[in-house]
Amino acid sequence: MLGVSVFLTVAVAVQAVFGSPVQSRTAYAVKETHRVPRKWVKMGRAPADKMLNLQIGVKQGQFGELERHLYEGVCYSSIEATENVIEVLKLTETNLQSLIRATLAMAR
Amino acid sequence: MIPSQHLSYEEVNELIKPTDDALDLVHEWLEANGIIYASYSPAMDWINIEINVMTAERLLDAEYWVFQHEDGTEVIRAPEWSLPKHLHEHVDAIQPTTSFMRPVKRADVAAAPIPWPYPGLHDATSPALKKVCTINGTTPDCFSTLYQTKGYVQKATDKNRIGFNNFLGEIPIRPDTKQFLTRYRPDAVSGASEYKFVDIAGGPSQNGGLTPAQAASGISVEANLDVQTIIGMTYPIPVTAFSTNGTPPEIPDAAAGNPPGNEPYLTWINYVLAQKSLPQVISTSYGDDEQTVPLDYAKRVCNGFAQLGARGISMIFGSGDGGVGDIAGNDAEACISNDGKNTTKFIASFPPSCPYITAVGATQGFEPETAASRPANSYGPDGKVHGFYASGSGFSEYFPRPSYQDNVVPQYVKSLNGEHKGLFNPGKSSPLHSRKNPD
Repeated sequence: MLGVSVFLTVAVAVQAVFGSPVQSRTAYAVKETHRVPRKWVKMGRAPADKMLNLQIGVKQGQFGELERHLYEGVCYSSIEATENVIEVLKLTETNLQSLIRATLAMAR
Repeated sequence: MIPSQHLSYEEVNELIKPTDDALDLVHEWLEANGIIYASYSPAMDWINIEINVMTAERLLDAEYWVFQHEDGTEVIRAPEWSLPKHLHEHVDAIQPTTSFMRPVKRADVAAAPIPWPYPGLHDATSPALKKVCTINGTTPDCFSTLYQTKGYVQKATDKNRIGFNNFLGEIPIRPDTKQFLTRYRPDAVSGASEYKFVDIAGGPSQNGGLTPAQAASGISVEANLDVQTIIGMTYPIPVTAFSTNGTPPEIPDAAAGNPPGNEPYLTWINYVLAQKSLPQVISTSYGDDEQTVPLDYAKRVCNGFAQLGARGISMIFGSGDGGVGDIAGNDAEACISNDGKNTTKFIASFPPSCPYITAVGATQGFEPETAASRPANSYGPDGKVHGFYASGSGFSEYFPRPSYQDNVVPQYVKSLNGEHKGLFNPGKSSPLHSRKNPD
């Protein structure tokens, strides 16, 4: 199966003003710095016309709420699973007792 | 029956969706910079734009450079980037900028050999295990005997599915898998032609055997190991093979018109999060040092796994192949911090360090079954010399210990009696479970 485009694509028409200074409500400030790990060597500036697929991660609205659901789901499943096991063990025990009683009855 | 506690696709997207305020401000900034096309993840928490380096440098007040890994891989990255101050609170991460994370599969190197079997490997002794298990190689029959799944008849093969990930151009090969199953799991042979490929951002996949050139390049060792183990253990559950961004990571070619994102986990996760129906279990045998991933980006990738988890999808990752770092083996540099202080320390792996996934460690031998640890330069049962291998493990420096580890981790750390003190920070510990490595 070939990959399908999964994103909703929208177009927003604006007047592009290339070459002009960055327009913004506020001044720029460094958002993130990360040291280049060992084994990587800086070769030179990237060619200006190379294309990048830039992904912008916008802050998620209610991740904390999702996390709460996640852990509740997990706990619930574990408790449910444990209860099921106990139930099975009880049944097995009951069956065993019946079996023993039946065997003893036959032996008599 | 107790009703499912899982969230639906729509409920997850509703919780994850950014506020209108955040989206409006980011859109305003993009438009002011002449960026007129964007695409979105289903929850709209990732905005995807295709722009050239010049535009990205202006947008992020950054400098993009070409970086080359010692293995020859080249990427374009900006180790520092900026945003207008009013957007700092609304944007968590932008990539590719600072992430040097790559999906790394296992690698073997060798020199002066230690004879097989190396010390610490315990063979099976009990009759039942001895009949099917040997340290010379683990088979599906051995797995099912050891883990007591033998004879289990699956009850929901129409509902259950299992998936696994392929990166770096690795392809699970049908004829090889058929040969493996014919020999070790004859009742499952049809599994070799039944598993489904899903190609994401270029795949690749193929139905035929490896070409001589592919075989010579050593490709598909990992993918074959994965598919054969999975079908060998889970047949007849339907299997899905995801292949993502497999073209060797290289500098995107503008002329080719399809710039690779070079961030395969993000590409994969945004693909699967857009699918309403997914396998309930997805296995991944790739990871990288946590410190190659910037914190904010690691959190967002990890959050993506939580979004899958909330839908009831379990993400299983191999805990790694280099123990707490490769220092005991071949590469002492692998245990040095990347914070500029060059501290010698244990290095955790990502994604295994993410609290919303399950990292599975490797074991060796049978009675007793112990954590896998193969000395460097030792002979294997195949008569070849292999490099250092140890089940990956470690404590995250990014993610605090999740509450579900509270009952086990403090006890473990206490039992160390101060050994290795200072070499780790007890964050999320991985692995949580250990299973025999199929190698």
